[in-house]
Amino acid sequence: MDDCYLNMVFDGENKLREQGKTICVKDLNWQPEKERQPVLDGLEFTLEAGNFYGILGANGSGKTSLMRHLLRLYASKNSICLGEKPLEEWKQKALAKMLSYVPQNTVIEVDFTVEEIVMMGRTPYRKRFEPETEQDKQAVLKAMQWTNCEQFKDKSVTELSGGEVQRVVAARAIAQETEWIFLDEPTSHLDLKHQIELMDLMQRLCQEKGVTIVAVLHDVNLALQYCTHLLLMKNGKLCAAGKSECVGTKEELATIYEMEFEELKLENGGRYLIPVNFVK
Amino acid sequence: MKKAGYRSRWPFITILVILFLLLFFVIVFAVCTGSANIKAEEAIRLLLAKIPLLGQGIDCTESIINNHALIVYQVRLPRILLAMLVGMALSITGAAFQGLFRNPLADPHILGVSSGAALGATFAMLSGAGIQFLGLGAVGIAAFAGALITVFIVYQIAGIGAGRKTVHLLLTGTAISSFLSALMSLLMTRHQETLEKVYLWTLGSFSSATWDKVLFLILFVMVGALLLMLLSRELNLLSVGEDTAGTLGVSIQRVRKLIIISGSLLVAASVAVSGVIGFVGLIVPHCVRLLFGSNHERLMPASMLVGAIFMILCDTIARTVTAPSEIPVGVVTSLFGAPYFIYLLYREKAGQA
Repeated sequence: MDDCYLNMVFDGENKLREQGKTICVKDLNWQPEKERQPVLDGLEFTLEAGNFYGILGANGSGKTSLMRHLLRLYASKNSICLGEKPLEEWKQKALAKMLSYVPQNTVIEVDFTVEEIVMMGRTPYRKRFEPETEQDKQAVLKAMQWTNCEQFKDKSVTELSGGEVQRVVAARAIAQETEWIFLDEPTSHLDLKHQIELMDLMQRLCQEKGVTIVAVLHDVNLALQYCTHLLLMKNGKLCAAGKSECVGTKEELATIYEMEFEELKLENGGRYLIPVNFVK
Repeated sequence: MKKAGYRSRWPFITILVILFLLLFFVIVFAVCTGSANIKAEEAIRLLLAKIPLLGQGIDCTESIINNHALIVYQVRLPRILLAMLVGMALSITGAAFQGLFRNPLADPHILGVSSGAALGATFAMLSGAGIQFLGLGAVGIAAFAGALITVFIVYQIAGIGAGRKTVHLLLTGTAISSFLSALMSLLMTRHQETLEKVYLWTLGSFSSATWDKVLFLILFVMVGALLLMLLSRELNLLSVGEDTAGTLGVSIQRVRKLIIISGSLLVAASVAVSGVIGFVGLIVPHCVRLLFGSNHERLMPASMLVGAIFMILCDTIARTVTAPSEIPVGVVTSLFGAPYFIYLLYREKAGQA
């Protein structure tokens, strides 16, 4: 069971570290002004490239705050290292070539075409006065093929459905060609079919292109099915973290969501958890 | 479902050329319109004669043309060019602010520029000072200073700190704006003799146009518009979302500051030469967006040209309809602007239903 759990304290000898393929969080605390409780409380863990991480926790447990810190949207005072350098020491553009972000329930109200939105993913690679290069165009085209957006590339994003917009935003993140893709509740506004579609896409990116996925998720079962690793949060603390075969037991989930779960064994060997409060 | 804008299928460069030609013809039209009867052919000759290199071969020494030359060069042309520049400045700033604040109702005056300028101008009119600087009178200088001080205060209150959201700037700007307007009203009830003068000033006019003012404004428009256009890619990202911009390598704080500084300088300089002219900066970017989409790389240059054309036409109406007296140009722009504004509001509501 030991290698099941994540290495919480980084041993410093990992080769991956040199290529920016680890994210090492050490003693991450965050308490905004006027808050009585810390939102993030002494977090410590290491993420390694190539995995599919799911962050689970009840509302207000600090999942989104954690993700915003990992993306440097909030300052983290040197407690997060991407590769060998603390996040603060990364140049803005260099960081944008490493980390990309699919924000929560994106609504784009401005009238851009799908292709223009995906091309925005190329911003860190483009010089100010240069038109888009062949490389940019190729990356955009491939990203649209991956996400199946190509057929509506000239449509305005204001005309698209929620599921289509989510795919376009995912395409933008893919065109950014980063080592890491962060998603904040990517499935929360999608119907069942589109949820599976998006998670399949992320899994393929992870397995075929070696992109590391870090997703804040609400759906425990989607997380169990797709993520290779889970991080469970409660009140700004990390309750448990590790491979999804063993972390995320019904006891652990009962702690973070404060409700009872029933576990079903699936034919493919997976687990399916049902909250019993709702099952009579 | 929100209706998407009609997109022109022509290449953008063609559209720019058409807009440039249109601008030229509107200038010619404006030169011809007025009490002195100047023919289009004369106007074109007089205009081309002033263009370097091209104009050398054009002979303007005939006597009738010579008389008209005085009217064109000394009276109509500075006024037309001033209207053109103010239209450009307000429209590009409107486009940039709407993108930056992600608010379709943002206009160039949203950060309190106009009420700051109006208060400054009121002080100058009350004091009766007679300074001249860079072609501006005391009122212009006071308006310019008032505008910039106001934006500075708004930015100091709302703009610092990473956690502050852009919407705080909007709200603070609106609050400061009402505060300053109230101060101005208070001053005016105490000094009713200047009431009419101040009131007319706040409606905007190009009747005091001079070449000095044109030169003053051209400097600001060139620098400010260039800066804004250089930031069009960043504006695209910001208009989609600040988190998106942040994770795509934009230094949000710095870009926001630069846009606000360049926009405010453009508006302050325009207000200083022409008074407060509303609606242009609000409606022109919206019209252009309907035609070419929200991409600021196209939106901003096209807005400048459309704004210039619109402002020249409005000013031509303002000075000719009730000639020899004039309507304030701000009245004309709003008479056109208000119905469109209502249409916009209606369209937004219909989109949500």
